Amino acid sequence: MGKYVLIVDDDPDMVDTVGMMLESKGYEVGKAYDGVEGEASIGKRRPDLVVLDVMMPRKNGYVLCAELKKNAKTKDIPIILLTAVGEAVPATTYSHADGMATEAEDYIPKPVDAQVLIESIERLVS
Amino acid sequence: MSKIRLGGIKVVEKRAYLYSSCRRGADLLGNICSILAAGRINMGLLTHVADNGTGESITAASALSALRFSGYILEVVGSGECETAEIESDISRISIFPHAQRPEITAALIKALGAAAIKPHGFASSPSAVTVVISSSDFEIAMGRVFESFEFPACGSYSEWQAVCRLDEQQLSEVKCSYSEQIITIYGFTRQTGLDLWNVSLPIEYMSGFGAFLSELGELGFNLPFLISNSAPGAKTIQFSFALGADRRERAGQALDKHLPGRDRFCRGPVSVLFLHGPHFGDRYGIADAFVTALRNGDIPILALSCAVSSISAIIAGNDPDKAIEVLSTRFQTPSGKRR
Repeated sequence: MGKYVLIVDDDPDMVDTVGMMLESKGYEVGKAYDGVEGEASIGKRRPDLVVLDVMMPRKNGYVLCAELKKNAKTKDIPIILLTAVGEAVPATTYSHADGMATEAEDYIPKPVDAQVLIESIERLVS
Repeated sequence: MSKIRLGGIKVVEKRAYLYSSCRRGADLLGNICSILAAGRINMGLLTHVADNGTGESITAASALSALRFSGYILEVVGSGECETAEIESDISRISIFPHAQRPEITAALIKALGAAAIKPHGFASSPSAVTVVISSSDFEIAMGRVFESFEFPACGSYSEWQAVCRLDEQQLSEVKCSYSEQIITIYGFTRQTGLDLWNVSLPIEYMSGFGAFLSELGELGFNLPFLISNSAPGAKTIQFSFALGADRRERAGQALDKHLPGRDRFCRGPVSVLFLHGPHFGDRYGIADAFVTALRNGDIPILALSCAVSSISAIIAGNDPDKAIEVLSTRFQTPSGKRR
C-alpha cells in the first residue's frame, strides 16, 4: 500500500485532477472538500501528507494549517499549501506573506505542475 | 431505498438563467461569450448544443442577475439572430460530486426531482460534478429530495446543510483574488475519444423515464462523461444531450426504446470530449470566451459544451482532438515544469 495523501480543496474538479495524478504514482488518496471536513478526515485517519488549498469556505487553508501545526498530534504531518496566490494573482485577500508565514513544509502556486507536486510529495514523505 | 454516498454538495442561490435558441448556424454561443467577457461578467454556468437533432441550436447561461444579460439581449436578440430568449430571474444551482462518470448518480438526481414534480431548467456536467438548475421557488423541496437520495460527509441533512454549509451572498460574491495573465494557465487538457453524442427530446413528465434509462446504463457499467439539458422557462419539454461510448450505441438504443418508447432521439458519432480545467474557472470572466474563440478561429465546431463548477467540457467531431488542443494552446498553457 502506498503512502496516504489527503487532498483538501473545495474545487471537486481540482481534487479529482490531483487525485488521479497521485494515484497514478501509487499513492493512496483521501479527499475532503473544505477545511472543516479536512480536519475531521485527519482526525479519523492520520495522513502521511496533506495537500491543502488556501481559499475554501468554512475554514481556509491557512487557518487549518496553523491549527494542525499547533496540535501535538498533527504537527509532524507534512503540509503542502496549493494556492493561486502568486505572480498570476497579484490582488488577493489571502496574502503571499501569510502563506509563507505558515509552518507548511511547502507552498506551490496553482495551477500546480504535476512534476513539481510529485517531487515535493516524494521529498516530504520519504 | 439506500442513499448514494457522495463527497460533497455545492449550492449557488439567487442567480439568473438565460435560455436562448436559434436555427442552426447563428453563433449564439460566440455572441454570449464575447459580450459577457467584454462586460467582465462571469458566467457560473454555460451549456450549448449546436444542433439538438431538429436543426435548433440552444445556448443557456447563468449569471449573477438578469441585468448581466442585458447587453446580449440588446445586441443579439435585437438583431433578430435569436429566435427565443427567455430569462428566469431567480434560479439556484445545485452541484453534487464526484459523479465518477456513473450514470446512476445523475439518474438518482433526476428521479429525486421528478418524484417532487420539479421541472429543472437545465443540467450541466463537469469531469467531477453534475449540476442542476432549478427555480428558487422549488429549492427547499429539491434540497430535501437530494438529501433523501444522497448522503454527504459535511452535512447529513438539509437542516444541517442550512446551519453549517450554506454560503451567504457575501461569501459567494466576495472577490477573493484577481488574475493577471497574458496566457491563461490551466492544469491541462484531458480527452475521451470513441464516443457518440445523443440528443433526446421529451415531455417533462417523461423525465423520470430518462432517469430510469440512465439507471439502466449504470447497471450495465456504462460511463457517462458528458451530459447537459435545457428547457425554456415555462416549456413543457426538456432536451438532453449526452455522450456515451460508440461501442454502446446499440445497447443504449435498446434501453431508450424500453424506457422512452417513441421519443425523438438523434445520435451522431464518432465524437470526442475535451476537458479543460483551471484555477477558479468557475468565477473568472472571459475563460469560456477564450475557449470558444480559439476553436472558432481554428475552424473547429463545438457540437456541445458544458461549463460548470471549474471546468469546460466540449464535444467535438471525430476521434482526434489533437488539432483542437493545438489551437487551444494559443490561449491556454500548462505550467512549465518549473517553480514560479
